[in-house]
Amino acid sequence: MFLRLIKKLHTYAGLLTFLNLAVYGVVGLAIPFMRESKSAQPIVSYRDFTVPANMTDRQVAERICSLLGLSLATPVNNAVIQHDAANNLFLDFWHANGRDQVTVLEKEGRLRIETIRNSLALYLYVLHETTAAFHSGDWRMQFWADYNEFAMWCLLAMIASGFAMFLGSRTGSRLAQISLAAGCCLFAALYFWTR
Amino acid sequence: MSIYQKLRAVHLGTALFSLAFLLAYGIGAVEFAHRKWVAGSEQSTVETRRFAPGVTDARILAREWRGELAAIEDSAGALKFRVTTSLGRTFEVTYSIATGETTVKTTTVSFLRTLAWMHVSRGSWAYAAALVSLGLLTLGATGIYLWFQNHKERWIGGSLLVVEVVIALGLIVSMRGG
Repeated sequence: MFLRLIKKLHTYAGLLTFLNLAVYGVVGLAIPFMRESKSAQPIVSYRDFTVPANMTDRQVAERICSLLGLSLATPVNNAVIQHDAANNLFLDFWHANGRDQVTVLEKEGRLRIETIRNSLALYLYVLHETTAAFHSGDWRMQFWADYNEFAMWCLLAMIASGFAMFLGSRTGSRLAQISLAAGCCLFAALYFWTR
Repeated sequence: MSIYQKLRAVHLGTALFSLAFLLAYGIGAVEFAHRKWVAGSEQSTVETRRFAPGVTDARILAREWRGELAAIEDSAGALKFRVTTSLGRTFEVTYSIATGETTVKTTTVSFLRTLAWMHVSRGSWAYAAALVSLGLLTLGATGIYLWFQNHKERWIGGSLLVVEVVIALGLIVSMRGG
């Protein structure tokens, strides 16, 4: 009875988080071949923008963020708002899809926008590490973060329930014993080699 | 041996082989996500060693420790540098060029923090992560097959799976669009 319950928990936890776990798998496979420089080359564009009078830098940043549709970069945090050497307002928006660096050229009445788009692998990497500790102004990212947190705990629950099922019914399997021993030995060897 | 039995054996073997790594990555992920839950403790020890005097290249001295050389500082007849291992242990070295007298401060991070370092380490740990990720994908594929063979669970499980895939895939595709 207890084992049946554990098996149900194991199965449903896996089904409920199948795609998140697949994302973890794809990201883990891509990591040895992934470098940040694999992002696309920056694209520079200009856009007309007049800064309204009596607006604070934060209000300008929030307005530009909204204008450029960078909802994944919200809420605008303090690190985004900077000034360049010429004392232009410089906004450095980071988000899952990459980075948008915006220079507000007030005298010219336009924005210089430098966009760097993350590769798909880097995008998935950011998603895999986004959990409930992260607070986003975009409901989709917040929903993903909360769901990914759930997936993280489900993974731990599946490890525990899977091991319980092994202890409960399959400890005599030679293949299982060899696999467990091989994995633990490899882990221990790596740990002592690299610590 | 039927296909079901073979795939069940693959599922079990892969899971047990990956167990230690998955547990480390899982706990490391919790450590990353909730750093405030457990205060990270560090322990430091200081030892004195003597090397041949006159060395002015930190890279030569750093060969004594395995890890990434960083933060080299050359000041007032002394070489200072830091070596960080893949799992977060750091050696802060201060070497006197005139005498060869060397002070080494070794800082070890907590076990939980070590697990978190495993999660992001490059080199051999990244290849281990790739291997275990392949295992995770194998577990997913064989797990789906094993579940599908259980006729009683098909409707409930299928509904959960479809809802999850539609929501998660929808979010991934929608956010990629901006």
